[in-house]
Amino acid sequence: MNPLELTLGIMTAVGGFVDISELVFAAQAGSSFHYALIWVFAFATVGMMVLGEMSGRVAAIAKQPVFNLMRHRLGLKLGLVTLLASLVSNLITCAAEVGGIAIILHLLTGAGYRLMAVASVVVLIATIWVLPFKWIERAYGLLGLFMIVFAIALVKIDPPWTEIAKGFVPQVPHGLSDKELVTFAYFTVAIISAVLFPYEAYFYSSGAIEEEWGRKDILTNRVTCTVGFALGSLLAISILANAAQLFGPAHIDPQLPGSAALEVALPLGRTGLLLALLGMLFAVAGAAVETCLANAYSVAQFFGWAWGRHKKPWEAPRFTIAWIVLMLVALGIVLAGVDPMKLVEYAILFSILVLPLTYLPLLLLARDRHFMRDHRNGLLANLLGWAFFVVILIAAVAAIPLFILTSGGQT
Amino acid sequence: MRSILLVLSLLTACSSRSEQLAALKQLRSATAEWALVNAQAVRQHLPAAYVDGMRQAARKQIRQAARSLDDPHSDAARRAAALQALPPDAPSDLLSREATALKMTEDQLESA
Repeated sequence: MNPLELTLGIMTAVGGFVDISELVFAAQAGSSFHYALIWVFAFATVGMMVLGEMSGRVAAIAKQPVFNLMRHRLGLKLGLVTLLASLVSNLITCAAEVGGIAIILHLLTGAGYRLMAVASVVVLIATIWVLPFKWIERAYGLLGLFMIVFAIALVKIDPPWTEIAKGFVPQVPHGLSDKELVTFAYFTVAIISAVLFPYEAYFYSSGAIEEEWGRKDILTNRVTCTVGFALGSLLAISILANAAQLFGPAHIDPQLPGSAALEVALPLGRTGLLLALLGMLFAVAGAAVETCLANAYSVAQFFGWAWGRHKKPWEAPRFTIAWIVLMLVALGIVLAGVDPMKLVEYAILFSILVLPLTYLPLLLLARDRHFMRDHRNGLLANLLGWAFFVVILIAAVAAIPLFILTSGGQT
Repeated sequence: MRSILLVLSLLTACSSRSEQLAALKQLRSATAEWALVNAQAVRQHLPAAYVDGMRQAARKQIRQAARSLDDPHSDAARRAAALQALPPDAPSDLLSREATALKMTEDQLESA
């Protein structure tokens, strides 16, 4: 297996795990609760591996991306509701990513925030238009690997590794006040939502079809999901652990993506800071591409249009117009002056509400003997898939009350 | 009717206290972040664009938090006003002390 084949998983995972929301949430989680939320990342990562593998396998065997399944399994009405909800969720997320890129570019160059937002959208549209799908995933996936500097910074500050290891054990910290317990619950739900963002499944399964995966790629799919999502999780946990060590004692609850780069600047200095900012830039740009394309894939697949970046833009005109318009709408939201960090909060909230509808049709099809034949879910995949589905349902029900009670994790 | 009014007034009080806590938390965190950026700017020779951008962001958050504070004569409001009067390259020690003081005020409000 060619290692470059892993780039779809790396781009999906780095863009999904260390996007703008994770840069803020992971750092805040570490700063507020030290290592106590590491297990939530690990747990949700296993969920994403299971469900991601399923979506890739279904795409490879049944040749069905997630949104095709939705329409057929949920029916037109419920499918349309899911489409609208996921459009809103992905659009808000895409706008947050564009705002995040503008902030990072502003911090790198000193140029104005709005100017950088426009410039970044021009570059993103140009890269999606010009580059074949394979090169989109390779460029953003591999450049996002600059984020490894966060793991290096963690090794450099030499944190209490046994404490970090204990963080992998499911726990609720002792001695929390009622308010802190509610905030802890909010962070738990928000991390599950951020790790399992629905756009990752849409992008990954559509990407598998773009790359014309078949039976021979089942192993590639499994390895890609395991390695890619584990890597994304490692980076997110590094951000959390760095924040626990450096921000917690300084009374900082990082509110901006630029703060995360300070985690690297403290142990690694100016070069580390620049590498961290570049890694964040490419990871967030990858997430912007993912969310934008995921939205266009969803609409095109739902309405049965020709779609895909393996076609020339003019061979799939409605798909092409969809992703360009969606990217421009995201830019419009940013230029209207909406705070990207507020967008992050709403993106997390909307996503968790869409998650059950995203994964239910997938779970149903993945165990279907008629479509999947000898590659249908085994006992373990079924057990894990449905167990995570129950967790997602509980998180979706709890999300809105927790959001209101904690003012989006602010109190 | 009376019980409904009582519940509503309690909810309003809780909501107001929650907003004050959120504002204090934002004020304290932005101040601490500003302190850290200023300390590292000197120690690590961080790029000017990054330092300026982070200072601007921290000061903007302090302004936002100050506007959300109810009582203009409170300790937190006075500290917020003093912080806004400081130059972007204010000494990190001073900013750290302010962040610590704000943390104490926040803890008092939280435990009240």
